[in-house]
Amino acid sequence: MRRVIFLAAILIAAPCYAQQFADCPGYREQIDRIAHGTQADAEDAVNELTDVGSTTLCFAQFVAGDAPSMDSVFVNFVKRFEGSRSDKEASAAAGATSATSVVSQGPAAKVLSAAVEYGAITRSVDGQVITLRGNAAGLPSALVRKSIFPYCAEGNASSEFCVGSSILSVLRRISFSVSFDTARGTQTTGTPAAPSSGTGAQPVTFTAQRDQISAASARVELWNRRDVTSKDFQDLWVEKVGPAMAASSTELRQTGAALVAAVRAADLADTYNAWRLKSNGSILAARPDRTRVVDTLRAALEELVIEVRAKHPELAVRAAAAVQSYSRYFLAEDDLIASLSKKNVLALEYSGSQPVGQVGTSNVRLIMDLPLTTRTKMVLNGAATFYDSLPANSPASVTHYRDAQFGLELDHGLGEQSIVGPAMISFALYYQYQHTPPLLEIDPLNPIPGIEFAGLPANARTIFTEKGDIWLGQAKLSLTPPGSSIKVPLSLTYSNRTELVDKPTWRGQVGLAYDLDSLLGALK
Amino acid sequence: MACKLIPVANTRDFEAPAGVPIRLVTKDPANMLIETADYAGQEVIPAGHPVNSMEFTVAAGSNQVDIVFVFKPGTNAGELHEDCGADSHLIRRVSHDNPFKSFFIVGKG
Repeated sequence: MRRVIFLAAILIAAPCYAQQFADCPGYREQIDRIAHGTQADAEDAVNELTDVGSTTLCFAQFVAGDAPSMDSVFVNFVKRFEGSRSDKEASAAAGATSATSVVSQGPAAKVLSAAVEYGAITRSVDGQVITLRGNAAGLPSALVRKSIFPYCAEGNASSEFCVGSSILSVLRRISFSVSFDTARGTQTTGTPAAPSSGTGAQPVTFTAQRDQISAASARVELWNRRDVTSKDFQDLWVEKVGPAMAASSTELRQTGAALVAAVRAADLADTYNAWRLKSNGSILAARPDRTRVVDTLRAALEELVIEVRAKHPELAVRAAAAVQSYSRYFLAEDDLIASLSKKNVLALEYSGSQPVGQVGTSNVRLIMDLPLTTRTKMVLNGAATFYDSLPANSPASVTHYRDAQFGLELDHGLGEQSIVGPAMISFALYYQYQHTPPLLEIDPLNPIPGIEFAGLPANARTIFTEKGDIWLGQAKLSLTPPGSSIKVPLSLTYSNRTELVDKPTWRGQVGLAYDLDSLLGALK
Repeated sequence: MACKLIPVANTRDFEAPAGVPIRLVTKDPANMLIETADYAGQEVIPAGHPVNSMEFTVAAGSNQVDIVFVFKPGTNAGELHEDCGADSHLIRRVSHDNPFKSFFIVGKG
């Protein structure tokens, strides 16, 4: 697994383009003004060009980029990778659909989250399900935050190997999940909806499997309309930008200040000022030949670096720290925009599940998220489920096409109305058209005490439960304790029947979800 | 209000009488904000609550000002000015490509 993650990371961090210090936007813009602008323009531009406090990112990249060859980038990566053991988080990042959610939400999981839920709503099955959800962008984002790879903000590649903003924006649309049924290995019960004739009651147990993975899914956002110009988005940005950028901005301020301070230390004040005067003159003399301007700037910067290193040997370390801070700043900025601009999401999800005692199924689901206001949104689901295989003795009426599902959910954030911290209330309606009877696989030789199927033949291996429409309504309150990464959904569900039991059912459920981003952040 | 910051010749730094208050503002406050800033080693604007202006008192000697800006999506550039009425003048142009700016103020007297 570690090897797979390693290779994936290398592919994601493919070369953006060969490092050219003059391609750094802060330098490039001024070089163009010097080469092609008026004399006044050029003089203004060269003043800014040689001011390390104004072009700190470019200068940091120039100093930090002096050293690492491609080989050393990989050696460094491997060392950090081994040391961080980030594969542990990544391997858990594959995920699955929740067993207890009526309607799937459109936006993909942010990075990695875990949820513990009990039971399955449309099945009369009890059992604890732990679901790990992950976003495909989670691993490369973690690598940037841990300074294993730099981040290439749009138009600004800081290294030959960096995680690009464009590939991250694609990966953010892809998510995975894996559900683990912790009840496996114990017994799960069910009752046939239509007992066959006969008087004897026969204990039955569902086959329990050692493998506890009960479901896995992959989801891709087909359409995610970015609306960064709307007033709603702008208001939300103003509200969120401060806290979202606080850590990365503070770090950038500190590392940037440290780099500038090294160059502009009191013992270098005369050297620095003299260097600027001389370099500005040389660069201006090289115009309008852009190549000569670039060459002159490179020579000047090399001269400055030699001077500063003589007094401050740790200059490269400070520069590398600044470059990493810029990476984290730009990543945090893009993450913030991505998290705020998700509106009208259309997603396609495939999930495969292997419920205890039932035939494995594949489900294809189309999910639509439609925000109605800043706090309220509507989610629509349409799905079809297919049996992966059919028992050999199945009647002709049993087909691979198992059921169709439609769901509608309204979510409303309570905001300040909530006295227990951030909370969301949801109301959902769900309809399931059962095209083919749910199939139960049984093992009469391994019965569970207390489970009885009336009138079941002794050699029965498969039970065909009754077809029928399933209607379901759910009210849910999701609580997030202030300052925590935990979410606690409480739900009450009524259904006219379940797949296994032909009677109305009330269910109350409590779940627990944990946002593992904070754990990943702590590994930094 | 008269401007206090005077450019130092042949540098991009400024000088001002020590002890006077300075107010710096972003010119387009709806689109570019100061996320965090420090002056003379002291945090002037703590991160987490972005603002469009910062105030501090000029200390004696040469001291570093460090500022990190945040940009509203779609905004690529902005300007930082000294706020001194009609005479307000440009301190730094800020680009989204490089949201960190650092310069020195020499406190005289």
